[in-house]
Amino acid sequence: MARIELRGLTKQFGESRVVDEIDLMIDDGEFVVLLGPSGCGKTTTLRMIAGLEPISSGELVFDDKIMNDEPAERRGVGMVFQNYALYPHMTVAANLSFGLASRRGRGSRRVARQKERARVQEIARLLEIEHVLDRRPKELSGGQRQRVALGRALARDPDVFLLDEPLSNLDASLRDKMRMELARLHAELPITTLYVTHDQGEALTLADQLVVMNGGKIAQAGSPREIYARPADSFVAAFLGSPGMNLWPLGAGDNATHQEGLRLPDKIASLSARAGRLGATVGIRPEHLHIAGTRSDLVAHFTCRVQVVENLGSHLLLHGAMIDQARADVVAKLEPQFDVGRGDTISFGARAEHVHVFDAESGARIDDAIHRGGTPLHSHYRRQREAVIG
Amino acid sequence: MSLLQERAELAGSARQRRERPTMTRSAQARRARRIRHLKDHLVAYGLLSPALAVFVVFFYVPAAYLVYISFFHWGVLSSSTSFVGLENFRRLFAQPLFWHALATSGYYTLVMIPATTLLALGISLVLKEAVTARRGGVWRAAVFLPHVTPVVATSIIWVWIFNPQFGLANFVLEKLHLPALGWLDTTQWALPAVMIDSLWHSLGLYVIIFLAGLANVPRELVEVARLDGARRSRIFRRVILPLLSPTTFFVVILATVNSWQAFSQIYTMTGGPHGGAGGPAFSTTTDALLVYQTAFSFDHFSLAAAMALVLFVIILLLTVIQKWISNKVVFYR
Repeated sequence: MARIELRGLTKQFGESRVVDEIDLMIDDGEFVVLLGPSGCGKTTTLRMIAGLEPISSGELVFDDKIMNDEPAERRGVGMVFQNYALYPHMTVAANLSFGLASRRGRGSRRVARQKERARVQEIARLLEIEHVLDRRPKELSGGQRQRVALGRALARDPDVFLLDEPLSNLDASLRDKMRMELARLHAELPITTLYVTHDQGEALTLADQLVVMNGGKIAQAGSPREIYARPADSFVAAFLGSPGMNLWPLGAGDNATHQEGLRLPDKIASLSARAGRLGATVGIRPEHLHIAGTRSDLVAHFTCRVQVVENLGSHLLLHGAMIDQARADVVAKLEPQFDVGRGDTISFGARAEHVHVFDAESGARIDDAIHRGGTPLHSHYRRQREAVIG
Repeated sequence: MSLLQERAELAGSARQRRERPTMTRSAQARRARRIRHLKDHLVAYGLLSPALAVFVVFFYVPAAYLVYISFFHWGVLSSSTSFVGLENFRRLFAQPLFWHALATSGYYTLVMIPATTLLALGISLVLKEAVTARRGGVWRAAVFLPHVTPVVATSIIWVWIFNPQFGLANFVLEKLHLPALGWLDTTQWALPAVMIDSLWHSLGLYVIIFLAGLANVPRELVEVARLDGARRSRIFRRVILPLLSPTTFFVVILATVNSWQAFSQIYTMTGGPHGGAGGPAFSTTTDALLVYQTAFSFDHFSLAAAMALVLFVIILLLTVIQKWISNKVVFYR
């Protein structure tokens, strides 16, 4: 197992910076998920850590050892690819033992083979694939292939386990099952794990530390709960959550407190004074919108006209637009028994701690002073570094 | 007949009356479908016919005619054609030169298959990185160029290269302090000289085929093997080579057929139109050359046809054997 540190890690292809000075600290045995939209640089980051992609600048450190120039085979990394990358011409057993046989040291070949066979059996038992050891990959189901890919990466007992969108080729039900399997596996074998995905469901359920990436940079890093509750910027706010956070322009200066459609308490509305020239953006998650009058602590009132109601069984998803401000789309999550239809008007409110305010220009959060008593938010990396190094 | 039965029959005949027009309609629809189908086929065969005609006139008819005349005594200008049964084959098998030519063809093929396959594979591995780079097309063109030049023209150049007095080959040997060779003038070196020319000329095609095969090996498999700690040689042996086996098999088949049929370079380098091709002392007389000489120099077409038929059977057998072996060693994804 290893502690990983990325110091200003950068990948440049010609003029474009695909990964732009990333700083991140991953503790020994931690499960870190890199989450972001396509092209945000998460897979490139993973490939740099694996040694499959040269690092343009910055440092990659495993347990205080700089690994930039270390070849892939000497980094002690096991990796699972999106398309599994199983050797199609080998049996499952041969796939699992390939890495072990490649690293066979000097000494009796017979003894080495016996050890390899034992290890393959052990891994097969762990992943419940003992009955398919003699089959070739094309004779396996998607889930079995996935397990073999995991097994192959685990067989060599890696220090770092890298997974590049490993569940994206599976159907929805199998994906849920494998997600739980991965969580169980990590609990049993606490290897430092880096997991790349664009699926926030996977990210939120699996991660000890969640790293949201955007445009080659880390938008926010922290626990899933922290990031969900207090997104660092409007990108994270909109990206995380299904559906994402409602974001409405607040306007700048004096207009802020008199924003049509949305009535905010002065304390929140006045924050727009801190925003740049484009003013502020107000955000409220769909599940934090309550019908006005159902609670006494609701602020941020507005009325919306319903356009579409989606019944998703466990809840209703209501799509509409604010009255008096048709450009402000609204998505709200309501109890399934709530009786509502197209064309209805509903008044909503939200509690003060569920109202987020961002700078409209930079997207950065500007309401921390209210919620955190004026203490500026340190980046997750900095806090971790301080905790470890001092 | 009870009233009830009567009613039932009446109802039945009424139903039949009602159903008849429906059946007629469905029969009409079937007929229309058949006509449409026929029209589609006619159009398809019509479009195919020019290519098919070329194939039939220049390939199937001569091939069938070749089989036919191999059982006859037949001359281009003679009007008398007589059935001789297996006489041509008996004469052929009794002729030592035929067996010698067969052995020469076998030797030529046995050397050419591994030489072309290994060299083409080696060059494609070296060029793999170069051709995927920005100006990869230039490299591909450079490699492919010898193959698109006419064999006869390049073979004449190779005759000059192998000239014992002022040829480039002996000049290089001299520079390397090696003894000069007689090349095309000696029975020992004439066939190897032809092989070098053939190799140079055909390699480009096989390199291109291997490059295409290499491009189809998924990058992730090589990467995962690297992460698995495999050295380059192991990655090549255990990952790339098995995945490249269909390409290798295709190249081997192609090289076999081309080697058995090698003619132009041998004819040009060892004699050409001035006669004496296949020399010195029949050392470069292969089966294909002997077929040509028997037909056009010795004017014995039916014997040449029998020879060509034997050559066809040999190539067919070799291909079947290779296919049988390939089922065991070639991996198809």
